[in-house]
Formats: sequence, structure tokens, C-alpha cells
Amino acid sequence: MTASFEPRILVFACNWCSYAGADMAGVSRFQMPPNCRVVRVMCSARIKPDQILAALTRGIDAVVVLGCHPGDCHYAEGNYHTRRRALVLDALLATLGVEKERFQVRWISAAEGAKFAAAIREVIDTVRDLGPNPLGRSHGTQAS
Amino acid sequence: MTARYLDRARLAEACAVLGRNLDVFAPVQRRPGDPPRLELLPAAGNVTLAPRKPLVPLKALFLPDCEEIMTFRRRGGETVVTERPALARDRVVLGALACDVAALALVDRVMLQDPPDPTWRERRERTAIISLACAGEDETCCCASVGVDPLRPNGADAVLSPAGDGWLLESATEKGERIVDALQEVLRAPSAAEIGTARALTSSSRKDSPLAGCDRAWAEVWERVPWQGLAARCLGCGVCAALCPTCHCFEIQDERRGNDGARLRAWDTCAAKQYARMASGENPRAKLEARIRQRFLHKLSYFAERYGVIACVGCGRCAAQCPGATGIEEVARLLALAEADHG
Amino acid sequence: MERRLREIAREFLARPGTLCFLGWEAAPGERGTRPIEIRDAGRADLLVWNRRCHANLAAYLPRFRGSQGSIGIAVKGCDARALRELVRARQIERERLFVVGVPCAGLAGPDGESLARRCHGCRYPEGFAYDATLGPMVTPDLPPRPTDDPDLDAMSPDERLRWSEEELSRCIRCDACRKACYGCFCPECVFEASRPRWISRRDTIAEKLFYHAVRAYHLAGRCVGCDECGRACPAGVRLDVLNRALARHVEELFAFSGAGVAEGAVPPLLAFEPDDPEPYPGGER
Repeated sequence: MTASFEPRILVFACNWCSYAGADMAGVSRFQMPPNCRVVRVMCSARIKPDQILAALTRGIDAVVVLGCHPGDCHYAEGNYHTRRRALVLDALLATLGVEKERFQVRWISAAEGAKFAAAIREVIDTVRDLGPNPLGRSHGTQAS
Repeated sequence: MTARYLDRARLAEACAVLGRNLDVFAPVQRRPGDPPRLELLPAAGNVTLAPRKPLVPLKALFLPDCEEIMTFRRRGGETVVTERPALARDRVVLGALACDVAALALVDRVMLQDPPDPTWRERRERTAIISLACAGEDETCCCASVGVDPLRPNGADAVLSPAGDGWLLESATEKGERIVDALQEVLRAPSAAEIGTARALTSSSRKDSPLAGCDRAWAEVWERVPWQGLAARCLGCGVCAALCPTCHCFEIQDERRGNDGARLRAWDTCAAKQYARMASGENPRAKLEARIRQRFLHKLSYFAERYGVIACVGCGRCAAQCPGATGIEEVARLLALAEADHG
Repeated sequence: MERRLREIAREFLARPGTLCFLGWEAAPGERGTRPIEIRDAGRADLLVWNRRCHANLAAYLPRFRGSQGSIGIAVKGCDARALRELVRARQIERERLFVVGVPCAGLAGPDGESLARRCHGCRYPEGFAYDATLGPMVTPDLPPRPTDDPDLDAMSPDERLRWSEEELSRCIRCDACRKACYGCFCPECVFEASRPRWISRRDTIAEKLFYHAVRAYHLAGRCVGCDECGRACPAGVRLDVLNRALARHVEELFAFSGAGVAEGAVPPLLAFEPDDPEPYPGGER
């Protein structure tokens, strides 16, 4: 692991709360670091754990899911499902031996621009310290 | 072509000697009790030359599970296509069993037809096969019923025959002779006793399987076979195809990431529901019964009609691994019974 | 018990409106037995019951959707849990089934003698209404898992990762585990989708990890521990270790009794509570 490692982080943000929060951060002059690729979804519950596992098993250094605070979901229940799925995903990743910091769920409302910025910075710093995702090693064709 | 002898204690050395100029593949056991796997040396685990069929058959070294047959990149307005590179080195396989070796010849009938498959052809030409005379692994082995000689495999470049604490090594082709020459520093002359032991080897491979003389047009007879019973317990899992040394169907998939991509060729199996599905969504073999019928008629009938021999080498892997304890031998038996019943 | 099973099957098949009876018959080779679908009462004598009746017959039920007629089925404890789950998931109607409980006291391991690894930690379903039984359907008292079996909970995360990668690298992507699993009944599986395509055919550890991680996730809260996946696997991958470890976590997390154990219990992934715990990193809601 060289000093120049910069983690690649996939961020899912729900349209109604957390993506708006990200916009708010931007308006407040927060510079989005290049580490993150932000994908807007209508609700955090739209995200299939398959997609998160696809990213992690192929070497993305971390995946972050941002949604509305529980109780505030634009679609009433979506983020309750997200929360359950995330809990099971946490357990699965722990079983496989993947560091828990590589998958995080945070609730960010539309007004919480500062919280968004702080969360992003924190995740990048934490994952940078962890190093590259060990699962990314084998992503390529094996010689035969 | 005089016989030479390799002491078991010098097997690792022999692999190292060959490895100077060749890519060496040998059966490796990762954990005790595992089936061996043909791996490129050096590999994690012990090289085990034994009459145990490797989990994935020899054909995988010639038609890989998945390979990039080309890569492409888009630069500016142009697409640059790069063909699969040639093998870096020639190869040798140690310890291949007769069933697997015979299967290569069957797949040759398809792959080397005009125009020949470039991957298959290159690998066949550049790979020497040193087989192991096989005493038979278990009761599922019936290679002797389908014209395979387990002790002197047809198609091998050289044969290792167990004798004493090592093997007699005899070449069968020019390619084999070159391999034996390359190994001279680790070989010695065999004793008369060792030669005697090697010559007296026997195999338990059964000769009485209904697979013998099975090549017929079975399509009509199939309707009289109680195949519903087969279909009822078949899970459509495709383990039979995954492990079959003669299966050679493949699919092509393109993968793209932005401006780069690759074309992959990967194994496919007619047991899979999506196998015959067409772009329109039509699937003539959506039903499991249809897929079972197709699989066995292909192996025992259509292939024979085209090439004069059934596409089965009697290795018994399908019967051993099927969760429903059903192999191609049993199907051959059912076909024969149905034919006999009728008249 | 075998004789009684045959009698029950014979009587069942003699009734009007019955389609078939699913049980086990003797089979050549090391497996010893295999599933059989009997349609004719006269063939009920083919049924066997012994310590090598491993097959989970519930896995064959989803294919009867869309057909008519009642189906008899012999189930061990683990199979009955799977059956209960299938009924809950509306893959088969309970009214169509004639369920015969077979009191299994443990299946044979590969050597024919020892206990099959799936049988450690056996749990029968509670309060299952069988239509007939060959004896009391209660969880047998079986020895605990042998100490040399991989214990993921006892490993450090690093060790677990190494175990996962090494174990799953043995996989040859043959799909047998998925087909053998009672819980994998999706008409189009995520691994069969082509638009978009989720999994690559590339022979890499990444793809194998993806395959088994996704399958484990999809089965979370639904795996009954029957180890048909492990039995079908030709490469000897210890899928049972992975799925059982996840099952334990899920059961602890949500105070869930286990797939198919309690009548009416819903698998954790199909429900939620407003006061569920927080996933990592947790903290304020």
C-alpha cells in the first residue's frame, strides 16, 4: 500500500433527502472529493444488496448508502427496508471477513449539508487508512 | 522408444525439469480427500498421480471455462481489436487418465473440423500429454466398454505405468519421445521386475456397460423410455455437463467498461434453461424434459450419427456426482430396454 | 417405518384426484437413494426410508405450480421446514399437499457411518400439522458439531476473509448448489439475467465471491440448513459453513427462531420494525 492510495467509493443517495443534502453541501462550497461517485436513486430501498455486493466483490473500496431519517422516508417505509437489508448485509460482510467500514449507511436530510460533507470526509479518511479492498485483487481473467 | 523409469521420489524434480521450458500441468490435491485438479505448477497442494479422475476434466486445458478471445478499445473514432495472444510456452500435462484423453479425440471431431477452432487447435498442437495407466477408480468407470484402453491410452504422447515405487515411462509419439528425452536426467533404466509389474497391470473398468455398441438413432426409441421418471428427479443442475469430458458447448459474451471491452467465450450447458432461448424470447426447450431428452440424444445418438461414435468415454463422473444418482449409463440401459421391449 | 411409508403412499395414490407421491427409492452407486415421483399405487413398494435419504424433496414442489391434483410428500425435519417456507412464500398451496412426516434421527455421512454434517444442530419445525407421520416428529438429540469443523465466529476477520476466499475459490461455477436449493425458485434468477448482466463468466475469485455472497444474502432467514447445496457441490465447497454462520447472525439480530421453525414466522428480510437497530456505523438516527 503506497502513500498515494486514494480509495474509490460508491455513494448511493436518495433523491428526496440525502441527494438534496448533497446539493446543499455543494451550495455551501463543499468540494466533492474525486474519490466518490454519487448515484442518485429515488429511494434508498431501490438499492439491491446485489448491487452493493457487486461493487465490493469487484474491488470498490467502500459503498455508502444515504437515505432519509427513519420515519421520514418520502415513500413512508422505504428506509425501514433499507435498514433491515443493511443489517443483514453487515452480518454477511462480517461473515465473509470484509471490514465493516467498507459498507456504511447514514441518514442525511435535505437540510444537513454540513453533515453530508462531514460524512463523506470521514468515510474517505477511514477507508484510506484501511487500504485497498483486498477483494479487488483477483478481478481479471485467470491465465489458463 | 525404450522404457525408462521415474522414481516417485524424483517426481517433483521431474516437474521442475520440464518446467524450465514448458508450462507443466499436473493433478494437484489441495486437501487430503479432495478430488485432484489439473493445475499449472507450481500450485498449492500435492501433485498426486493416481487413478482418480480430476474434478474438472482435461478438456478444460484446451477449452477453458472462460477465456478472452479478443479485446477491443475505442480510441477517437476507431475501434482497435486485439486477438487472443498465442500461448507463451508449449505445455505438458502429467497424469492424464485414459477417459479424459479419449474425450479429447471426440471433441477434436467437432473443434478441428474446417474451419478449425483456433484456441483448441493451438493448444492441441502445443501440448504434450503424459497419461497415467489407470486401474479404474470405482464402479462408475466403464471406459473399457466404449473402446478406451485405460492402460495404454490412445492419444497420449507418453504413458506412465505404476510399478514398484514409481512409474515406467514409455513414449508413444514423437512429441512424447521429446518429453522423455528432456527428462533423462531424472530417469533411470527400469529393472526387469518393474517392467513385469507394469505389463501385468489390470483395470477394473467394466466392459459390460450398455454404452457398448450404443451408437444408434435413438430418437424414436426415446418416446418409449420411461423418461418421466428421470425428469421427475432431475434438478436441471447441470453438474453432469460441468464435469463431462466431452461436453464442448460454449456461449459468447461481450463485456464492456466504457471504451474498453473483451469478448469472452465461456462454457454453456444444454441443461440450462436459458441455453436454447433466442433473442426473441422464444425457448424451444423451456421444459426440463426437453432438455434431458436433448442432452442424452446428443451424446448417444446425434453425435454418433455425425461422427460414428457416441460422445461418451465411460468416465462415470455424471453418475457419481448427480444428486439424483443418474448417469448416462442408466439412460443407455433404459434405451436398450425400451428397444428390446418393442420388438 | 419403511413398510408403513409404502402403505400410506399406496392408500394416498388410490384416492381420486391425486397426482403423485414424492419419496425416496434405492439408487445405484454411493448415493444409496434418490428421489422418486410415484404416480401409480402399484409402485409404492419402491419407496425406501433409511439413513441415506438425504434429498430434500421440498425442492421439487415449485415445479408443480400450474398443474392439478394433490401431491403426497415424505419429509424429514429439515425438509418440513423448507416445505413450510415454500407454502408461506406461496410457491405451493398447503391444501394440495399430503405431508408425511418421517422422524429422522440423523443421516449418514459420506462414509456411510458417521453423522452427516448437516445434522448437527438439527431443529424440527414446531407445531407442524402433518397429514400422517411414521412416528413422533421431535428434534432428535444429536451430538454437537465436531471441534475441527471451521468455526467462522471463532476466527478473526482476517482469518475469515482468508477462509472465504480459499473455500470459495474451489467453486467451479457449475450452478448445482443453486439448482439443488429449495429456496432458489425465482423464474429468472439474478445470475441468469442478461440485461443487465450481473455476473461474469470469468473464472475469478471475485465472481465466485459475488455468486455465493448474493446467494447467501438471498437465502438469509430462509436457509433451513439442509445442506443439499453442499451435497450437490462436486468441488466440496463448505457452503453449509457460510450459510449457517449467516443464519445464526440473522436469528440473533432479529430474535428469529429460524426459517420454517415457528408457524407463521416471517423471515426477517420480509418485515421491519420501526425500532430496528442501526446498521454500521450506527449512531444517531
